[in-house]
Amino acid sequence: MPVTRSAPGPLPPAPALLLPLARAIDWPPLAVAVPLAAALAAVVRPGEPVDPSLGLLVLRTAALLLGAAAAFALVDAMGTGTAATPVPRWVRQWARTVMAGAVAAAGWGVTYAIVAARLAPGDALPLAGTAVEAAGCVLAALAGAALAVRHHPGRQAALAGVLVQLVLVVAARPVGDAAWPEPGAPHWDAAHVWWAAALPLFVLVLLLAHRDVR
Amino acid sequence: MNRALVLFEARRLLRHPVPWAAAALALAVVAVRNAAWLPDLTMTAIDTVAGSSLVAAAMLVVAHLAASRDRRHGLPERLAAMPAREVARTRAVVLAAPAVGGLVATVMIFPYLLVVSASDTAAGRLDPYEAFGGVALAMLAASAGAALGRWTPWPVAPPVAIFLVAFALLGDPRGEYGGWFLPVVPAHDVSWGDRPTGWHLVYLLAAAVFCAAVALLRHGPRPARTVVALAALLVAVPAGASATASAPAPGTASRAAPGPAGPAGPADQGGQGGQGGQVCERHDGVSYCAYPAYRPWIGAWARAVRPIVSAVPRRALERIPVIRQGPAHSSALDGPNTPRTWTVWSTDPGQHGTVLAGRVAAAVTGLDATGPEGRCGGLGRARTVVALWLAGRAGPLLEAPGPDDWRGVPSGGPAPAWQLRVRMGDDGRELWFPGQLGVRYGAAEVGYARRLLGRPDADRRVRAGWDVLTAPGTTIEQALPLLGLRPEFPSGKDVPCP
Repeated sequence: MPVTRSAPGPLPPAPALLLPLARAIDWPPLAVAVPLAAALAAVVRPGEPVDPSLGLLVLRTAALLLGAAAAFALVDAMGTGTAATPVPRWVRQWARTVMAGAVAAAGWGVTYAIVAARLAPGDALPLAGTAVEAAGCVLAALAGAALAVRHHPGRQAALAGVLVQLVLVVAARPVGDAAWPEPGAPHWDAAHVWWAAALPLFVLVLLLAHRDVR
Repeated sequence: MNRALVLFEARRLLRHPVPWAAAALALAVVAVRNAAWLPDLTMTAIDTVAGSSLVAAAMLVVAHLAASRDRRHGLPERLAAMPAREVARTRAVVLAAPAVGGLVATVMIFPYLLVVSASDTAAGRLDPYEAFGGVALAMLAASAGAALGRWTPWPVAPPVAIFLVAFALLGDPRGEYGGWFLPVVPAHDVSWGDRPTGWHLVYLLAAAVFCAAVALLRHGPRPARTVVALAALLVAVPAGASATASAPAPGTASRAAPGPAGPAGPADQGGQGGQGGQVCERHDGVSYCAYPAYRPWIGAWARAVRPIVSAVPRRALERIPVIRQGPAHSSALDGPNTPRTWTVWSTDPGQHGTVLAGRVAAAVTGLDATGPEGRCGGLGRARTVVALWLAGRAGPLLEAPGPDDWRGVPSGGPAPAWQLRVRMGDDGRELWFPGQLGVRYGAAEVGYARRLLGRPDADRRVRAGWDVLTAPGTTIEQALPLLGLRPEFPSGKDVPCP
């Protein structure tokens, strides 16, 4: 608990904030997950074209994996000591969220490119729908981890991200493939409207979780 | 000292909310999914064990946290002064975590399976090895979590392990690539034959011991740990290979009849004779034959057609052939209007029950798609109206398919009002039927059937005029006075027929 709070002043220039934060972020999880996702796409069914169902499964696994790894970026090892800094917590946490999210998105993009290149000629996986799913998987993990790191110190708090992902995946099982439609399913577009509608909810949780800790 | 540490770890893990929450969620999901089907203990056990993989995932995470705890929170420095060394703490985790994981999985799996097996309609055979496989799975996950915690203390290791295993399971649910070396093989059809659950259980337990030994090997290759690891490996690999070798090949049934092959004779009460390893029972004048393990479902089949058989003269029941059960993977009915049942049966009366009722209604009125006029023999005939009226008594009466709808062209989107879509499993397989009789009919037949359903005296009129109404040559126009209806629908113009 800080004794004094600094008066809100102009925010520091972006590099002055982002560079130290970029150095402070726990990158190894993403450094593991990004190559792993790409490798999964590259080695699955070696030597033969990937059918769209399997390609979609690779993309969904990659999204969950990258989301779970990105969640570790929200852990601020100095969380208890940085409350008195002039930069509010929400700015720092959002900067972490955006940086980790960008790396996860880039990793997923590479995975998508590999999967798309390995599909048989004539097959395709819609980028928009799969990208919305991936954004949902990553944001769900970030939201879960953001809530956990608010209350618990230590890197293991970020595991709340994977727990939220698992709960959402398992809780969607009773509706069958309604939440995870197969490529070409008649309800593909409708399902992804729901996915897109869920994204603001995760952002709302992030907004709440990134507030200053009093 | 060691015992106290084991008890300490066990208490901490038992109090951890995550495995229990995972068990509750997994149980709820399994119960909701299975509530859609008449219980088949073979499939229920497989589904429950597959659901328990969430418990296993939770145990992997918490065991990883427990095993890597002494590397966090600045504990290494403090613990260095303690008399117990790291290896004692690892040993405590690898003993406590699998025990707790097994307990949580047991609490999730067994009470549920016992409740389901107590149901009157529970068919199939409960394979205890299958159920214990779920317990062993949680134990293996706990051991693997401890090993990961010792060898890779980064907390990202559990999610990576969970998602990679989940990918392997979902990408290959039949075990075609990993075989029975996969921790769960969730896809099954009872017609594939027995699963090598015993060998798989041995494999899972040996793999759990192997992971525990690997966790301890982090503290140096002592002889006991090395021997245990090698011995566990020597058991796990042959057991997994043996399970894989004796696994049922999808689509090639090891025997014609699923379930335990029982003697058909003593169970045969209907005098129809058990054929093809089936047992037969007679209900309300109709004979039903089921694979022996599925006999408890016969009552549900009889209930589905009771509104029909109770509305027709007794002598008409002779037209209904013996209703036989077939495997779920056969994609069609045996004949255009042969009533039959499957090794899956939905609890939704609008699904399999409606198909069966429609085919029984067609059969009892003598509609025969194998006749010279094929599927068009019922067009404009009174017996088609009667059959639709009977089908409407038993369940929802569909709209008449349009001219193009009979060609079987798949239509996307939700099922249209003229189509019957029947789910044949949780994996999304469906059978699609245009109309509900197996023969073609039009809006006129459906229209008159609806009028008939609205008449309180329809039952009496149909019984009184049964022979005329179901005679092959009686047209709708001739039958309308008998049914107390007035002409209002032009018939036969909207149905394509050669």
